Amino acid sequence: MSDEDALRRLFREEVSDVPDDGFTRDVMQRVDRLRRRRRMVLGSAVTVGAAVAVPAFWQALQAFASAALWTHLAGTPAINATALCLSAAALWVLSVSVEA
Amino acid sequence: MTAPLSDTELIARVVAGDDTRAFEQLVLRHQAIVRGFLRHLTADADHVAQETFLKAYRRLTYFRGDSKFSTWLIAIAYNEMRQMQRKRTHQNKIVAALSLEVHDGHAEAPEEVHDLPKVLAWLEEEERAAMLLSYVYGYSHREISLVTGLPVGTVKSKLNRARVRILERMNATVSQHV
Repeated sequence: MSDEDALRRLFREEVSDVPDDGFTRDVMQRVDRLRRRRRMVLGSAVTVGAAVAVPAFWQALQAFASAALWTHLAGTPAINATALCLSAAALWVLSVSVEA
Repeated sequence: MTAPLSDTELIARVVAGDDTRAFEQLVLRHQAIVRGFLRHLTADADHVAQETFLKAYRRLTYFRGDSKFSTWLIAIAYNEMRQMQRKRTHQNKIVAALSLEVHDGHAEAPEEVHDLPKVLAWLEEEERAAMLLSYVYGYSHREISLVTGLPVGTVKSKLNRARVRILERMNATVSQHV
């Protein structure tokens, strides 16, 4: 038998099946924990982001409404309704991105 | 009966819809090769293997299919093992001392020449990984280079050196007992 054959035989004997023995279950439990943690972090980030962005957006809208051309419309129900709709849309987009 | 999905199809499902069942299939399919490889390199094989699959899950979007999925996993496993070893320098010294004792005992026992774990203990870590990938898993030099991060030429020389070292030791042991 050549040296190379001896080496091949030595290593080939070691090719054996490694039984799962619950390994996959343990990995999947950790994957689930990782996913839950990710969702929590993302959810917190979105809540904080919304808490900062919505009032800022609202103030910007108010400022825009009271600008020269729109002064006569400022504070009217039409502008307030638009602002509410836009805020709701922004929140909706944020919540969809959290679910995704 | 439907044919089992390929690795590429399962990966696409995980990436597109965070399909954990698909990822579970990937783990089931590849756990043996990853754990089998690591068992020859570290005493903490199953822990490193778990970390490997978690890292693979987090980085699955970066898998481009340039190599086989199993090669990509083995590369992560090898890097993960080396990182952990760096963190546990003290522990490694103890393990090295133990493997030296095992090796010393080996020279006196001719029947152990065909005991792979003991033969592997004669080698340096990179040589051990290269020999396992080449002889047990049939990896090409290029694939071993991808896994270990060593240039192909270095892989070839490490394999040659490991072969020579094993054969010299095996022959010396045999001649001692003839």
